[in-house]
Amino acid sequence: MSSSSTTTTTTRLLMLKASDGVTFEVEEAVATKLGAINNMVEEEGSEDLICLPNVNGKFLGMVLEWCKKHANNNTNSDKGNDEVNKWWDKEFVMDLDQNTLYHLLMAADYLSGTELVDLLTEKVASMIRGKKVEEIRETFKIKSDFLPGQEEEIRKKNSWAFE
Amino acid sequence: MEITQLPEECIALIMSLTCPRDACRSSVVSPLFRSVADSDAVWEKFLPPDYRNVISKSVVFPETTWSSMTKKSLYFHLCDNPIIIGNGNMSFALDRPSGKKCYMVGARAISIAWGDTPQYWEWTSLPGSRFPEVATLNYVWWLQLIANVETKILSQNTTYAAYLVFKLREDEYKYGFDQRPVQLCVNFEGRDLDVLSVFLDPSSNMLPLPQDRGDGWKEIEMGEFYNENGEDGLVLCSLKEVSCSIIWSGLIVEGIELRPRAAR
Repeated sequence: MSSSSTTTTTTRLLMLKASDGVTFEVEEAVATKLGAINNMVEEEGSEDLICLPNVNGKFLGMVLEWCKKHANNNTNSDKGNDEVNKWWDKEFVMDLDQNTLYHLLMAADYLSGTELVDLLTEKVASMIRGKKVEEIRETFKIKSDFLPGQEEEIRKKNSWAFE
Repeated sequence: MEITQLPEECIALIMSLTCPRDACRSSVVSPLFRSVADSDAVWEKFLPPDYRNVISKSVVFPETTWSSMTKKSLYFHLCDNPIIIGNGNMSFALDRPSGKKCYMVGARAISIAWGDTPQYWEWTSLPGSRFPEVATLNYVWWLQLIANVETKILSQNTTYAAYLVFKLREDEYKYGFDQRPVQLCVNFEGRDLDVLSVFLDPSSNMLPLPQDRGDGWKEIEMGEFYNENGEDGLVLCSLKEVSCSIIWSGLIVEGIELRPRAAR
């Protein structure tokens, strides 16, 4: 999508290229919600094509979708925006499978998308909260590979948490 | 991709959004989880943001001691061992489940009516007290104790309850506390009073009953307040009975403790 030439404030478009060659054309105001891209734009100035060798197209697309929503919601000046963003964030993370969640988290971290990192880490934290050890293992498909007796010892050291 | 393939800093960030109890449980999950869940990066977040500032006011717990501890050890040390700060008149500790700040205002820092008249109140040193001196009531007609705490030193967005920490003498010098209630009150300076009327020595079927703290002292709740952002000035915790209709004797006061209410 290109912006209309009749508007007085023309939005600059950036081209982002993912590790698998997929490219995205994004408004600068959207892409610069990511700290890493903001830095590149400020440092390199005129460069319109930005290569991101550590993020593949699928996850870059999702990160940009999140940025776009937040950029759009924030252009409306009414106060309900925080609520809209919160609602939309909830929807965004609700049905993510763990594989996607971790890839997105890596991408958001690499791109310095602080708010998105907060959202995703909070989602993972909510999967740990209030759970028993066995439930945490089951949730994350983790095998305990402690040496015999070691687990019991650690349990004893942290006995307060099991009261 | 699995959670275990995330960089440890990332897992630590996630873990620091849980709570001490979740982190302790996580340390039993697997060796990787343990190394993250025990890390300083996580426990630093569970400690109050200004903990360095607070504990540096302690003379008996020097920086050379606590700076060499892991953050997790320091956390539990501060839960289990209240440290004395502020001229020896106040103690600081952490609430174990939440990491929020607990303070006890020692009797010496409480303003006690007639407290400097030995005929009425005496200052004694008890081996079972965290403070060098406690206040022992010989007798008074006018019973009044007020502790002031600045809300800015407390944890924010937290409901605190205040407790009178006391003992009653076991001999014939104990008098009055089973006969009349005293008025307990916790409020911000200059705001309306919400007064509780309680017996410090109730007969067994009368509520509320003072609770044994497990450290040789009893406590009774004086009231609660919500500390939003520490900008409410002083909170006043008081015990009063000033009708002068009865003589009071045999109360020993260690202090007034403020600690967060358990999340419901």
